Amino acid sequence: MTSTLKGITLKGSAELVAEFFSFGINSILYQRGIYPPETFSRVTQYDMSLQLTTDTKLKNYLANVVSQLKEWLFDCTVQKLVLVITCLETNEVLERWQFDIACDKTAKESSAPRDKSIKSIQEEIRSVIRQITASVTFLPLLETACSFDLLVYTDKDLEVPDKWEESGPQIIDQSEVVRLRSFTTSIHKVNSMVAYKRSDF
Amino acid sequence: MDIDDDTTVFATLKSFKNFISLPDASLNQGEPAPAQSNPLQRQYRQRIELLEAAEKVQSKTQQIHEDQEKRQMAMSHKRARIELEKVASLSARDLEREVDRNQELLGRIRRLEEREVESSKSLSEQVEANRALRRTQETLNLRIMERDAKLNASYQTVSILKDEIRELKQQIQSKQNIIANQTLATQGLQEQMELQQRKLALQEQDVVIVKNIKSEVAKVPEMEKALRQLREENIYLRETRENVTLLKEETEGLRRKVERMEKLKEEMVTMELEKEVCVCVPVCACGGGANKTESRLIQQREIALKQQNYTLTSGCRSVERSKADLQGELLVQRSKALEEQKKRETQESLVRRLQKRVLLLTKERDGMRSILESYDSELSTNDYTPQLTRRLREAEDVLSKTQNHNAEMEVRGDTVCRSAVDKDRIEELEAERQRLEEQNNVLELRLERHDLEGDYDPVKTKVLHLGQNPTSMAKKQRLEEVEALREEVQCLREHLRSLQTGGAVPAAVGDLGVTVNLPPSQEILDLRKQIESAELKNQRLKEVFQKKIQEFRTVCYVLTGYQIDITTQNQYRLTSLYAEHMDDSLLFKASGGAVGSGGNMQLMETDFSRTLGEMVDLHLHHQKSIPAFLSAVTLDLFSRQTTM
Repeated sequence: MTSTLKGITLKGSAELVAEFFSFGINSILYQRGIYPPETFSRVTQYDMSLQLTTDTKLKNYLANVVSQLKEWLFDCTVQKLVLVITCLETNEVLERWQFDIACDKTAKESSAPRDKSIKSIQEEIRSVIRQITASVTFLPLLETACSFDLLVYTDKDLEVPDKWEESGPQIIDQSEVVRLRSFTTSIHKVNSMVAYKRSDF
Repeated sequence: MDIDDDTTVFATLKSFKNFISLPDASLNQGEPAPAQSNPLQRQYRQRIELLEAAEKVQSKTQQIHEDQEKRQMAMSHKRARIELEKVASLSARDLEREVDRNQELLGRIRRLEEREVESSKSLSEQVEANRALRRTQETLNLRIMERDAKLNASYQTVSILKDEIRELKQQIQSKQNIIANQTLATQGLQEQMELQQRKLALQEQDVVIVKNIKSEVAKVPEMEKALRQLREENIYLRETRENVTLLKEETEGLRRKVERMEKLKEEMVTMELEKEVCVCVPVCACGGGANKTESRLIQQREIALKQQNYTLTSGCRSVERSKADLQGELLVQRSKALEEQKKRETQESLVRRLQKRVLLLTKERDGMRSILESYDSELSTNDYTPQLTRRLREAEDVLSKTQNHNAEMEVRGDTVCRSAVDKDRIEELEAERQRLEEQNNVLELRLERHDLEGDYDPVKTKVLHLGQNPTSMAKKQRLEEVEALREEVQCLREHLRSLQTGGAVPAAVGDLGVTVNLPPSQEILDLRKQIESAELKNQRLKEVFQKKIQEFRTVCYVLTGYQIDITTQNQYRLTSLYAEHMDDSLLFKASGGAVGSGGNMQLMETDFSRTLGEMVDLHLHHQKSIPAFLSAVTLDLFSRQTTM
């Protein structure tokens, strides 16, 4: 937690957003049942109880991605973060959780902290995570074994770091898109939306 | 302790009594034997007496000891008694207390029993109440079950309704999407229509513009004439200005002259007056005759001067009037010149504005052309493009012509009329621009929708992900599992084949592959053991049977004299022990099913049986006894053998 009493700096904003992604991704994995619920443990964050995975492999993977994401957020080179849920049997993409990140690049030039209270940011984050939890009501059931992947949309001229590689956008054909709430730290603005495959009857 | 002391006391008393009894016996026994006068016997008696004395002494000492002990015992006994009495008293008290306690306890017991009775009554009442409550509870449970069932039914109906609602919503959404697509298509078609209409309008406008320009061009020579007139007027005015300046100079000169003239006149008048005065004085002095002529002369001079004055003043006035007129004309000319300048400036500004607008319009036109080209490329309809290009070229030609005319007009000096036409055209272009903006919005909406779905501009963005991500790992795992399963299946099939072909060698499992794990289960091992044991038993039984049958056959051979062989089904060959040749044998056939069930045995014809025709007739045909026949044959052969 950034304890900038005076305001939000670019670094603090990057940390807040990365933290949100870490908890948000865990919530989505728990809600959609990608991993069995007994591999999750309860923690308290943003004044609500959330689920965090205890699987070491998964933890390492998430830590890698989130740390790299934090760097990119600080450089304002990341545009979107997408969590893609694929069915293992048919290799079809069933769900797509997309988070658009809009960065105010003037914060890079001026190092003056912005005036926005951390509490209000946390309120907004809390409402977004609550919406993610509530989205279970309208999302179709994932009956087959599924796995997930994290995609990051970055600027074209960005240097690809070690172990990262280019991939396709993994778009769902014939999808329904639902826009969720957004939150902003006054430097980074994050829009959330979920796209799911239209289930034909 | 007391008891022990008592027992010891009794024990000592007993021993004492015993001891007392013994010496009497010994004494009684000792006296009748003094008559025997053996020295040995005496010695023996002496010894015995000594012993007895010793014993007596001992007994006395013992007695003393025992008396002492007795006293001690008595003392102790007394003490014990006292203690016992104390203890007895204490125990009596205790008894009393305990009796009291007992009574109390009995009382308590009674009370408790009463309470028990009461509590049992209350228990029974409560049990009854419990039963009643249980019944009510059961009824309530039944009601609750019914309500639960109703609730479940209602939940089910609710879920069914929700599903139906979802379905309907999805249908609605799909239909809305279809509608949106169709509206977009219709909009596209409308836009195409509008484009074509606009093109037509543009062409018409261009035609109108051409007409206007032609009319303007027709007006040009008149304007040239007017220009020439204006220039001539300008020249004339300049000349008049020069004349005016000249006239001014002349008037100034005249003024000065007039002034001088006036001065001269005044001087003349003063001079003449002085003269007259001088003359008058003497004249007055001399007479008045000369005054009249001089006065007439003066009056004539005055009149003449006055006439000159009047003429001069009139001339001055006329000159001033002409000067005023000329000045008025000057002013008018100046104002005209200023107006002309202003008009020129306005025209120049208008020309600049028109130039700018023309530049903007050309840019807009270029942009619209590019949009149109993009739309045309999207449409890609072969029927339209050549016509459109033709129209475009025509419009471009018209536009270029108008631009040339515009340039010429600017060079010559424009009028205000064209700006109105340009304004109309500008308004139309602005309306077109608004429509294009709406199109732009629609396209932006489409872009946003694609963006929501995850589409991206490959020029600006790229998509990255970690190579070691859970999906790829899961896929790898799946592939590995599938591969492993396939290998296992193959191994199992081969194993099955090996088993079917025979010789299930459990050791071969290891040869087929490391990955295949066929754990030899306990059942299989047990069954194998059972099989082995059964086979062993079988073998043993076979051996035993073989032995027994061999034995039996040898015994039969030995005892009956015939070796019985089963040649084929139901055919038996008997070879006698005393057969002369090896081939001599009798064949019997059993007919009528199995031998055990008592089928008929019949003798078959053999070489040997032919030689026994008599016996066959006798024993088989007449006596109908095969054993008799066989024994006869044996006897016969035996007799032959022995004799031979």
